[in-house]
Amino acid sequence: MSGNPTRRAVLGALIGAGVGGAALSPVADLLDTAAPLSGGAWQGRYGTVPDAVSSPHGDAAVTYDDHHVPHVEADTEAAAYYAVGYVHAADRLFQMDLIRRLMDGRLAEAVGEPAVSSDEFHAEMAFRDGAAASAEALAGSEVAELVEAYTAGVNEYIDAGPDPFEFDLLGYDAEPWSVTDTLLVGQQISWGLTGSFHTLQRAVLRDAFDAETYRRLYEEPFDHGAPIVREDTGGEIMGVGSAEDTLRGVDAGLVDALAEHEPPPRLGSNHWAVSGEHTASGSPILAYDPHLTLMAPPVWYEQRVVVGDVDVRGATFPGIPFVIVGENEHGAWGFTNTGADVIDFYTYETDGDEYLYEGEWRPFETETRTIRVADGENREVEVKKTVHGVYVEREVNDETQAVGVSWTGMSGTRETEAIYEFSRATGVEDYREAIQKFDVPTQNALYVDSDEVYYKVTGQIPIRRVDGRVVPGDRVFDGSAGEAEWDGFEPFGQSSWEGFVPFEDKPGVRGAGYLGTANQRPVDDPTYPIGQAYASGFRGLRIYERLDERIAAEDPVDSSFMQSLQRDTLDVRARMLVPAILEARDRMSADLDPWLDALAEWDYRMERDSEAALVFDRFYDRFREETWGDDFDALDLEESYWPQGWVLVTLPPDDAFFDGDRADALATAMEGAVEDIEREGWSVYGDKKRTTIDHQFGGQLGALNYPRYPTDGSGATVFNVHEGTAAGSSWRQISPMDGDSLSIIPGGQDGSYFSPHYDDQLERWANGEYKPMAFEVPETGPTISFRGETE
Amino acid sequence: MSEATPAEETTAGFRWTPEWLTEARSRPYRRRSLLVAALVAGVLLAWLHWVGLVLGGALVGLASRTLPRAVVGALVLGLLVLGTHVVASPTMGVGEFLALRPLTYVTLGLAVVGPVWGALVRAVV
Repeated sequence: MSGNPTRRAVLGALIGAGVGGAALSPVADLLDTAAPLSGGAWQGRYGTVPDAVSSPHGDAAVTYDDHHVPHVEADTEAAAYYAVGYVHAADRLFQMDLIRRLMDGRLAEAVGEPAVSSDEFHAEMAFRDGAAASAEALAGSEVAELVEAYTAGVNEYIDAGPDPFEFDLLGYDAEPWSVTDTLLVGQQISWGLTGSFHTLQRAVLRDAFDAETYRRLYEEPFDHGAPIVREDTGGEIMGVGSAEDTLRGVDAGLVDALAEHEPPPRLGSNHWAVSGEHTASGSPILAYDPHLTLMAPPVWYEQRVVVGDVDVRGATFPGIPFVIVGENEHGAWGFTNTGADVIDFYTYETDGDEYLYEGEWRPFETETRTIRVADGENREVEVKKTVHGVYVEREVNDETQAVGVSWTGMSGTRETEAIYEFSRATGVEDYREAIQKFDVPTQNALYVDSDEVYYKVTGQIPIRRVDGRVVPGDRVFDGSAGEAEWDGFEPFGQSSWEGFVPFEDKPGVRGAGYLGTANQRPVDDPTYPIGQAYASGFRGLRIYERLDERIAAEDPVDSSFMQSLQRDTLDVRARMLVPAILEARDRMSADLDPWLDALAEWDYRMERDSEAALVFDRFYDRFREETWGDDFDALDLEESYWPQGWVLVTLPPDDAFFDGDRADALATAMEGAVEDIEREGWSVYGDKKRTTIDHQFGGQLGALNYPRYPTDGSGATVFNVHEGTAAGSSWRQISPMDGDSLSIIPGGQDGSYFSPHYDDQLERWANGEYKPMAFEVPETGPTISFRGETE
Repeated sequence: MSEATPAEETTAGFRWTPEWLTEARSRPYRRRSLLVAALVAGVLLAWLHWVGLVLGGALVGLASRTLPRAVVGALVLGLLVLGTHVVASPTMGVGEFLALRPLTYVTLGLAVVGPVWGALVRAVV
């Protein structure tokens, strides 16, 4: 062959053409990304995080402990938060970037076409303008300087450190971080916890059902008898005792279109605290676990900051400089979601680019934004604003449907200042001062210092008045008539909040003996309406059961008890339903006997080695489907409209939703549950209940997903791991005021897949174990030193 | 494939292979030196661009005595590049790298196909 010049020439040409063809073909991008040594995906892997950094704010030292928690020490706060910015970026830059892009409607610029719809929604909601208003509220304050120092620290890393793998993979560089980006992260938290189109969904439901059915399915308070503040809760109780519809043409299709971008509905949390009166040490203890989305890397980042007489350790969201939940040497604190209604909807009489407001035609304030799309066609979206907030439009059934949206987070808010002040609080008084600035999100704040337990609902809650009467925000209001609008609210500006629920009138307790919250209604009789949607109360009920029992037995509470309660897997739903299942046993086939026997002997604990837990888990889903599925399908209402768990487990046996025969529904659900189990080949609950905590790109690169471990609990147990484990306890904290604190996150501190700390806490988290939350700088461990720049 | 001979190198009066290369290939020490240099150059070229893998393979091929040996040499270059790729990263272990499927299929495939494709030049020169 080699002797034939023609064939040599042809072969030579083929070799060249092969290379040229690959370089010019669509596959070239993939080769550019994945090639060994030169591939874009690997470039960040050839560098390490620089461990000697110059700082314009002075010296600081970071020492990572065994779990990669940074201990930041500095003489000044600016130096410390510069270092915090640097370590946040070193460990979580891609996560930070995704959040700011999501909220700003710029995600498609990084990830392409699939994010376009999300970007259009987030642009229309003008979250960046809300963040800018908060930046304006913060401007000139001491906290603003610290956020700027933090921002500079992030940008130092962006300039000097290796890019996270995900940036290399997607082929884009991180843009500089800004103060507004930090406040966008705050917007994401607030929107995630209070952004809801529930009001619109309720209005749809009101249209779908007769008044009596609607009331009993959606409006009756759950009769579990365990609100956060109970009749026998001791201490000084506040915010209790009363002071004083329709869809308005909004199309149900618009509700569904907007609800696509609603935050996940399963966000909840637990915390409880016991005063020194009932503890073995004589000092209060706090236990806390917020239930948020479980993802890789986790939503929380743990850090300790030591500056002068401030020594604070806890968790924050990457992008926010200060410890949001945690502990200092004077106290410990955490937040659970209140479920307050801080979003309203309005319709307007419109004429082209104008809308009618109190008899006057006003132009919409409009801005055209370009949604940039990686490897796709850019889009334009018109952002419209009214006096109340934003005006969101969607094409539904070939018609333009629109609704005005007002949300407290659209104003300038001061929660960043409040969070900073938590770190410096020296007791309940300081903390109480700080939470008055916690404008968003509305939360159940629980704090313990060395003397007492303090609970308070925080956040700005609007008071709506129609014809002089206070009304809940459970309907769409007439925006053109200025109906029920919020006094003192300035969207995308600075609010005076004068028409909002006064701090003193929000529910709270000072000096309680013990108190627990789990997103149930705060009180039975609030001074002002707070919200319409609270958790079913299964967790809240169980927490109070365990606390009541322990304290009634005069058995002093200690850290072990608090841990055991945080690990409690008893499912109250099972306790309420299993007797009825067993009663209906004669309706079921003999094949189900082993499973029914297991249920009969069961202690209702959702634990990995339990057969009964497995069959109940499958049964419950089938029972929901059996009860609501056909009726709601007939009304063209999807699963998100189904009533909550408490309604299901307390529905009378002869209810029409059971076609008058609950036993039949129970039997059918059990048969279906066993079919599911046999089809999947499961034996015990742990075969099904496994961690499935995934990375954003886990669908493309499975290795980025966290490993699967068996775990316990359910969405209704105190040990909280939701169906599919996509949500659950995102941070567990035990803080005795006189003893060693503990914490754990579902994953690891480092967002880099290549780090040993990517998922090093996950297995212990799945097993309900903890790691120390110590207040000592480790003697050994990786360090980063920040050297102050000299002029 | 048979080994190339000086007669073949000058078929039809056109010298496909420079004389110095023909001579270098025939002397074991010089051939090995050229091969080592080609492997080093190949790794360096691969660091610049994936086309460097092909060029590196071509250099290895040119320094090889026969086409089969060129292909083997190219495979060695691919392994060297992969080894360097993992060793050069202070944070990436072999297991972590290999687990990144399907991305690593492209990386591994390119490390093999690129140099071998280049080494085919031995059949020309």
